[in-house]
Amino acid sequence: MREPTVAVTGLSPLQPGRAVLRALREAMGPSLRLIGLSYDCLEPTNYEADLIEASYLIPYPHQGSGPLLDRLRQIHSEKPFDVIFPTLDTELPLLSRLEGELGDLGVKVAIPDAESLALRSKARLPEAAERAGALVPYSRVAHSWEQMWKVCRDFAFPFFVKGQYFGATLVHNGAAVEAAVGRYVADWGFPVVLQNQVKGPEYDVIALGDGRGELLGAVPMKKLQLDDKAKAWGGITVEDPEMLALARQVVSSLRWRGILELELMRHQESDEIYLIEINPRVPAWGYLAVAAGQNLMHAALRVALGEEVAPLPPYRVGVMHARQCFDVVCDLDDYEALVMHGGVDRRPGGGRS
Amino acid sequence: MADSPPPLYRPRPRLELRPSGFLLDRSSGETFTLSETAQALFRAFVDGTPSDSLWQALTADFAVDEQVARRDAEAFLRQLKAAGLAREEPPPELAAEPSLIDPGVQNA
Repeated sequence: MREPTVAVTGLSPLQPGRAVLRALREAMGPSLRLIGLSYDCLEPTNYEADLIEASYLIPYPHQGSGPLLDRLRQIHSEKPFDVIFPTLDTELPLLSRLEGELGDLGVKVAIPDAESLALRSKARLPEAAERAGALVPYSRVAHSWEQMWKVCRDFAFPFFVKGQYFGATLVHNGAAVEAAVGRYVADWGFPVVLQNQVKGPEYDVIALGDGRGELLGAVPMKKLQLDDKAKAWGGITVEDPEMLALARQVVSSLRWRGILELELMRHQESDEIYLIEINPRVPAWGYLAVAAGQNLMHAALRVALGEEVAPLPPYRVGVMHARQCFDVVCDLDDYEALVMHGGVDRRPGGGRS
Repeated sequence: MADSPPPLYRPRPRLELRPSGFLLDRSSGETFTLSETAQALFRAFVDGTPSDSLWQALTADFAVDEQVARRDAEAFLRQLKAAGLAREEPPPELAAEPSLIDPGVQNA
């Protein structure tokens, strides 16, 4: 049976696409065919020929599912692929809607089902947490400026303002609230979420569900250093049965298919774990799980392909990572192909799309 | 009135001390470095030596008298607690002192 051809998104620096590509390449070797789905000609992973053999531009999610489907059909007609492995939050609702049409092309999508995807949204986190039996900080959702100022009165400073897809800002006064909400509404629209702060160390867990309620693997990590957006710039895997149990409960209660990330806080006084966010895709630090012995991305691919996947072996504790930034040399011919034709295929005989 | 006994401590679980003195808290991901004497104390502590006898791990292997060893062991345990590596145990109940109240006298 031939290896599948897998199309991966999220090719900008700090996005999870590269972690997925690395993990799949490591598991399946050079015979695996990997292609990139990119939003910009200057996304550096487009030019990493040892990782991907081809790359194609696709429309931004805000352009809607119609243009995306048309483009994917076009790419597929020239460079057939078997699986799409999305890595960005904004893509998932679109691909979820297109799952049927993509299935008609013979393409599977490595995403959770639509109901689970909707339930884990930031706006519905309390509901998801209740299903999973998890503690969650007090949160309110605002669908308009007027509503936002009303619910704001329920909170004492400082608290968090969160965009519906991305971003969290700790605000200390009204001006900061207005700035943060303005920023998130400009990027993603309403709703925004207001959430109490939980003081204590933060942990993240990457987990994989089989879609039938079973947890196939999970790796918790503690951030060791942060970037200016408080994202992990280094971390270490930790041993925490409570966090693994929580991952199991979330995956089970949501019947989650694929990978998710749990953002957790351990209350500095009560030691209780609070669930502060569920991200429905591979996190940018996800390769740490591979390094710790659980190639969750490869297992997620197999789940997407409909294979039966056994739970992965236990991960290693004390595995560290520190993020590196490096320059990718771009072949001008590749850049020209992306700019002029929207795609580049480096395989011998490969063309332009 | 008798002096209060020193607090008793118990190590937190999942602590991994390496031969170099590098300590990993496997639960929190925090790391620490221990001096040679701290390593001796730590090993005795996680091996089950009661915290009020820990000073003996110093006098056994180092040229130090009992008074200094006791002081240093207590300081070490306070440091462990501050670092989140040890928990304080509630002291055992003191034996009840004889009552000075005539048991025949009841409050109204």
